[in-house]
Amino acid sequence: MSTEGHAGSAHAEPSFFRKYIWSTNHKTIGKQFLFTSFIFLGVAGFLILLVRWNLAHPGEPVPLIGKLLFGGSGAVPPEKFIFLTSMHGTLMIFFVIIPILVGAFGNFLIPLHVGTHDMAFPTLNALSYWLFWGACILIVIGIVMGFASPQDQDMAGWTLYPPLSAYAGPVMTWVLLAMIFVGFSSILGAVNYLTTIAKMRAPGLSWFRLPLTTWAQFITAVLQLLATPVLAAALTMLTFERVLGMNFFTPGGLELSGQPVGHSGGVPLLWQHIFWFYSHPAVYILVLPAMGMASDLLSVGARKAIFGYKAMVLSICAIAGLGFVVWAHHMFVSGMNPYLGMGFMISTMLIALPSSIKVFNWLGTLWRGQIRFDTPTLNAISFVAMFVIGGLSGIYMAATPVDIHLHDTYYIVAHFHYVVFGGSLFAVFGAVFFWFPKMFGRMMNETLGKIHWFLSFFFFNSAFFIMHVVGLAGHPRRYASIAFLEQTLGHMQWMNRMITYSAICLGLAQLVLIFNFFWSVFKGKKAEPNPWQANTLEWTVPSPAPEHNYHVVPTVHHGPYEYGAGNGKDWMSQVESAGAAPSSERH
Amino acid sequence: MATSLKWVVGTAFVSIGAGAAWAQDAPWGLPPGCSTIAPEVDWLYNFIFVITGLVFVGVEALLLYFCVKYRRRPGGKPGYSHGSKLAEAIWTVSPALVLLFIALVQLPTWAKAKIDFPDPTTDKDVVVVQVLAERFKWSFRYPGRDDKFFGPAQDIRKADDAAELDDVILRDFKLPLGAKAVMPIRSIDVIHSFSIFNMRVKQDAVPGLRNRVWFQPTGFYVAPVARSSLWVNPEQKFEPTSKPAWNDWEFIDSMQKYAEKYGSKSVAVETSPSIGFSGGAFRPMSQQAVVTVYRNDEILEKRPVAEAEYVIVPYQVACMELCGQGHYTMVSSLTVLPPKVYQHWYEARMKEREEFALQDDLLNVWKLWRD
Repeated sequence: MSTEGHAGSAHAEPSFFRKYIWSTNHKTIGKQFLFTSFIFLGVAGFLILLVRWNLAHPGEPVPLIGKLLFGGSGAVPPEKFIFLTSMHGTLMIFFVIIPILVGAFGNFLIPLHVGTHDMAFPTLNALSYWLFWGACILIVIGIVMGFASPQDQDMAGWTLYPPLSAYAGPVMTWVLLAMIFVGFSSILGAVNYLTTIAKMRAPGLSWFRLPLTTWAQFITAVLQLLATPVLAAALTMLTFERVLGMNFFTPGGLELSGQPVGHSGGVPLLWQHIFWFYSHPAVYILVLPAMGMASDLLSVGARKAIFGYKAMVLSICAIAGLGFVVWAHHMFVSGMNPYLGMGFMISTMLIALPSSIKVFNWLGTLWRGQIRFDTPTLNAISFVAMFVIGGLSGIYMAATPVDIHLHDTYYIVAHFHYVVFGGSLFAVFGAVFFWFPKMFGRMMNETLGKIHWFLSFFFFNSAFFIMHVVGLAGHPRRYASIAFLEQTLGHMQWMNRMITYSAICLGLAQLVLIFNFFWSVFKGKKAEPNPWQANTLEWTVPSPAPEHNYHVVPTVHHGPYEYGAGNGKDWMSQVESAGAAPSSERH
Repeated sequence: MATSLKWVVGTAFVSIGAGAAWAQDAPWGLPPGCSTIAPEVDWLYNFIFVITGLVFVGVEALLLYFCVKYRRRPGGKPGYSHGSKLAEAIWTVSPALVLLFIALVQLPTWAKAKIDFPDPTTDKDVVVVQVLAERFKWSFRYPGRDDKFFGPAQDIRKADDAAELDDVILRDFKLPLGAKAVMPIRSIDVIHSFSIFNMRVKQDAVPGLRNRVWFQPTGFYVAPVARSSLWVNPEQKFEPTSKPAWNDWEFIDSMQKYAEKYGSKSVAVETSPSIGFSGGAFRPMSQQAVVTVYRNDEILEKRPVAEAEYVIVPYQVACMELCGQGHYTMVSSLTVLPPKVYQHWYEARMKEREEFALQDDLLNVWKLWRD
């Protein structure tokens, strides 16, 4: 797999269609993933605001758009609630966070970071995106059906627990098919990433000279390759149960609304085991790439080498490995053998350890730095601050007796939003700002960036921190309103309202990002090749990165984090071969 | 090692002291724990709260401090370091010890909650109540006059003449003070989750799976009855209140305490359908409603609702696992009663069963029960 013959400029300029739509270039595919996911981020965020409105003001009309969406008085009908909340979860996980982190940044950065012209299998890469497009079409059909038809909108949460998902309306089948497409897209992507990182690294770029972003993408790809087929199997089984009348998850002798159910012989817990065997690793798929990118952003922003680079790599590996043996901690109250619960409790406590090592190493990276508070760094620091909260709140749930009380309450909702929004999405905000010049050749506006960061950080916390409190009181997840639990939870209603208003403001704050993004694509300040004075290989080529990345395959002389080494400037590119280059090995 | 042990023990000690105050300081903490397992769960919660609280404050403060101290200055030079093995060893080993301690300290509580069930055949305090979940209702079965549940599953399915069924089946359930409830749980359609906030109880009802749960309530709340009638429509809107209702109620954990405080008062011993909760208080559902009143150790049935000065507060039971569009309406209640009132109530329900056949909707779902 030689990279020698691909000096890019020799190729003729491709047509518009080949260049921007039906492209096999990793940078174009990365941007396509980015745009598609951002659209779904808007849709999924909008759906949950409708849900939040009903929680704050049960039965009251949604202002401005209620009549248009729901007819009647304009209130969210209770029977729409499950559709809205299930669709929010499914979209955010499978169509927003995973495609942004892995599809967009994985695609864009991996070939640049390993110093090669493109992915190992460019056509397979394009196929991965177009399979994702298939999924998008299927899920959009589901969304439209859910809004249009009163009968078809029943869903079963993003976790799709049967028997409910086996009975739910036709929307469910579209969602299942969409998720199968997403799964295949992920598997193809993972094969590509693993091959590219393992086989196409530039001369001198040993494993322990890879940036943490790429390390995280590599381990994430391993997770995807091993776990996603299990999800695909589960989804196929469930689809067959729904469409072909097979029996995997539904036992016999059941009745639904007085009618016997034509299934027998299935086991509902089987689904939960298979689903979480995928979906717990998927939780790490949702955060590992963000950890990698935040590490790079922090190191560049603080002008400091990553504290304990090898420990960071090993803790990513440990999280991924342990991630496969903790799945049943989602099932402590499911009726699973309680002795099994003890085992999974201990493995869950163990997985907190590598995460805590990473947090301390991020602190160590900032220590004695010269921290530059530009937008990427602010977002990366916010990632650390929020991930700490999300990580610590996880310990309550790992403690099985406390989990009995917290399970399926808003405490869980707060916990995973601190990891996935406070963590992953803030890292994504930072990464978009950081790599924007390499993507589009222009800088994003710093002032707007800081305004967006501040509004997001403020309203994120005012929306989600208080969810811990309502969750502690017992506020259940996936309730259309707490009208029937007034005696226990009525005094929390003002908190529900505060959460809702904050969430609306949080949604509006994203308009700043959208404006800044599109304004900067066309009108932003022209970017230099290396605007952040960063060390990794992508900053040695012009901005935007040329069609085939590198005219000459770069030769790497040391690790990616040689900041402040005392060679006259506070950084040293990986391709610099200064005589006094410090060893990339740890001291 | 010795220092870290001292630290852990010291933290544990502090958290025991501050425990009850934090865990149950509504609206910021857990709802009041009213079962024998609750103090252990709440202690564990507080213990983790102290540890994670210290780590949270420490890490975030350090992060903020570093951001200020190591902000970029003109001409400043960053330090050059790739890490320190000693520092990394310290912050690997110390969280590991703390996590190990949390893992070990919780095991007895988990065993008590989910493994060591009281034995109904030997323990006289045990009351067995079966729970059946359907969309979107709970129902509860007591064994009735013969003290036996209606025999094997085939029998109840053949019970075409509902009159021969002496089991008491209801939409909510009651327990005598001091009883240990052992509750087998089944579902006839989808997965539900049986949850009582104040008991720290939660167990999924999974079709085809024989789940069960046990707990022992330690008492009940007595609340004054407000005189203004209930007027809001519980389907749609409710009036939020600023503080938890139970802050104003009295918790009764023994019959001596009950006799001292409420012995001579008129206490309504059941709420639905006569008395409802709205706007932070219990109110009569209508002026014509009748209630059963407990006063001077006497049980008076069918008294006008205006007579009731106080009411025994039911604990809310909720479904916590998404079960469909009406999930949020799947709410029931547990009322803990003075033993004498409970006996009276149970006798009346058994008599009712002798006189009237079980309603078809209940009989039909209970035919699906599997032992």
